[in-house]
Amino acid sequence: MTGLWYILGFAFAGISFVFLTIGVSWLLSHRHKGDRHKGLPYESGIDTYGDTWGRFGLSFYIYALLFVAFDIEVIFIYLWALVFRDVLVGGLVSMAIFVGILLLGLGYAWRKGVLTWR
Amino acid sequence: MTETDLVAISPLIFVIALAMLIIVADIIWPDRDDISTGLTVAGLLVGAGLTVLVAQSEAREIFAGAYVVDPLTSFLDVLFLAIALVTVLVAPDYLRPRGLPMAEFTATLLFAISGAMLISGSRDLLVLFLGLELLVLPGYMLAGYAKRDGYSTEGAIKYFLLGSFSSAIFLFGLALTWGFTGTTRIREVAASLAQLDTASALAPALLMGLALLTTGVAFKIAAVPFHYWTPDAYQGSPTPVTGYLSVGPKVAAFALILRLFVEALAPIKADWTPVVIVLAAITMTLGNLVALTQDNVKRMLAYSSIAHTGYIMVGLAAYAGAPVGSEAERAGLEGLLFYSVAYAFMNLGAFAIVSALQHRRGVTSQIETFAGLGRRAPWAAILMTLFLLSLTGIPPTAGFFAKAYVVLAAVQAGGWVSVLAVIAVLNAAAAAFYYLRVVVFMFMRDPPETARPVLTGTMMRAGLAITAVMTIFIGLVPPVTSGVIEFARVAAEVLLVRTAGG
Repeated sequence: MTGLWYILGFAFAGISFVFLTIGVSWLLSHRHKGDRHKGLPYESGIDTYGDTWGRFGLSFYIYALLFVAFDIEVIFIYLWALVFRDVLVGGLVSMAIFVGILLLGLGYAWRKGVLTWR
Repeated sequence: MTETDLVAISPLIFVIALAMLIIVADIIWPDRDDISTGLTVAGLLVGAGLTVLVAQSEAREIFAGAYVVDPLTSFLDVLFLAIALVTVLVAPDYLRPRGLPMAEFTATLLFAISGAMLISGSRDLLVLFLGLELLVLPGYMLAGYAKRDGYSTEGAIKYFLLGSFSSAIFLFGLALTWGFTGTTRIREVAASLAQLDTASALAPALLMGLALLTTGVAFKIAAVPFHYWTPDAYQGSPTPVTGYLSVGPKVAAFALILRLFVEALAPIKADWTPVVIVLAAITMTLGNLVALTQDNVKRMLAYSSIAHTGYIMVGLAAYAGAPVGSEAERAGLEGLLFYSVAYAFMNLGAFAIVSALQHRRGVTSQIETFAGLGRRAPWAAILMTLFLLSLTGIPPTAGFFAKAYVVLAAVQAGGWVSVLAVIAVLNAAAAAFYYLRVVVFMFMRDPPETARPVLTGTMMRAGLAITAVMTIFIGLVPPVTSGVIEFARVAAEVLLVRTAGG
């Protein structure tokens, strides 16, 4: 039965967290009606212009995907480098296969003209 | 990791290597569809041979118990490879006229199949999830493969949103199960659950995990009321992809159920049995009732595939509802596996005919396309009739025996499950109406004035031949029937021995 209370408590805490954060930010935010510059996202920066709902080129998305693939790869390579003394040849071969698969993906994207800016 | 580990999963590695080889071939010789298609067909045959070869040696756990190669793994792997083969054979006739490349299609399909093969032998909750994601992510890409087509994109987005949503739910369920049992190894999860006091109620955390897992899996197999993505995703996708989506991910999701519910969660099966029974009943009934009103054959087949999910779930319910260690338990799992094989071939066959008719661009999958097909292209009409009769469950086709096994298992299990048997039979009778409606259109209506001859390539013919031969042989040729049953029995036994032994 206590387990049920845990779940209910957890659900309550989770839901109230949403209202809590919104409420606190509402309380703390300074709402100066008169001064337009106080209400800007960057009070001391240059004036913002345009619409927040501007459209991004789809090309950015593909670059981001390629970036993520190689970003994650680096995490593996750091750990691999740390234990390289213990794994030696087997480790080198495994890493070569891993990097090779990623490079194949990059090569394919290149060949398909993904890296050409349009 | 040892050499024997690598030998045991060599079919899986082979399929992944094959997909990469196709990418390399596409880099060197772009726009050579014949190379990628030929490589895939040859590779899948070799892969199936490799799977059978590996299956000869004794079942063993590899990678410290995270993966197992046993008869169930081999059974499912061969089925997945066959599904991929038929899909690849059927695809060029539809994709080429629309200017869609084959190489990317086959490579993506093979990656998806490798995910399915990872699920089939998975003995660890995380490997199970990894396999599931590897299966569905290429599926989203395939659904939106005709990217200039608005319907394809719409279907892909719906499939993607609900698919990733259900994956998250499923993962949350896995997390709670892990939190409760303290392990991700399926064998240890089962052992930990077996020690629970079955007489008292389960802990709320475990119940919640069970609920989330059930919901997540129900989304993947498209059981009512978690089926809303199915019709749009199936209707919008390119037709060969629809054929694959209605079979591959569905059978793989049932493989996941076998590994997760039948193996890991077997000790608490009394708690999930009622849900399976209710889901099976409403899935069969609603799928069939809505299919009655469809005028688009692809959409009709989408709802019919929901209904077939219900029939397969009857097999699962027979296992779950039967007393532990009884004959009906085995019969239920055997029925589930046999049904999956029969369903895979007859459904792929039906979608292959729709693909063949849509060889010319602009041909819709409305039922009017089928008008007078009996006169325009007699063999296509005859094959379509065969697949539809099999889907209805009329002897002596594969579909009849599949339904018979599932229903008999349900009767054997007794209790509430035998009510399911009655519902299944009534549903099969109702389903005859909308399947035969297509047959009526094919043979009793005049073809439209604008109709042009049906063209088919050699590969399409090969794909149709495989599905038709399997649909007839599983039903009509005793050695084939008993061979598939024997294979299914051995595969089902694996699960039962292990759940009994703990």
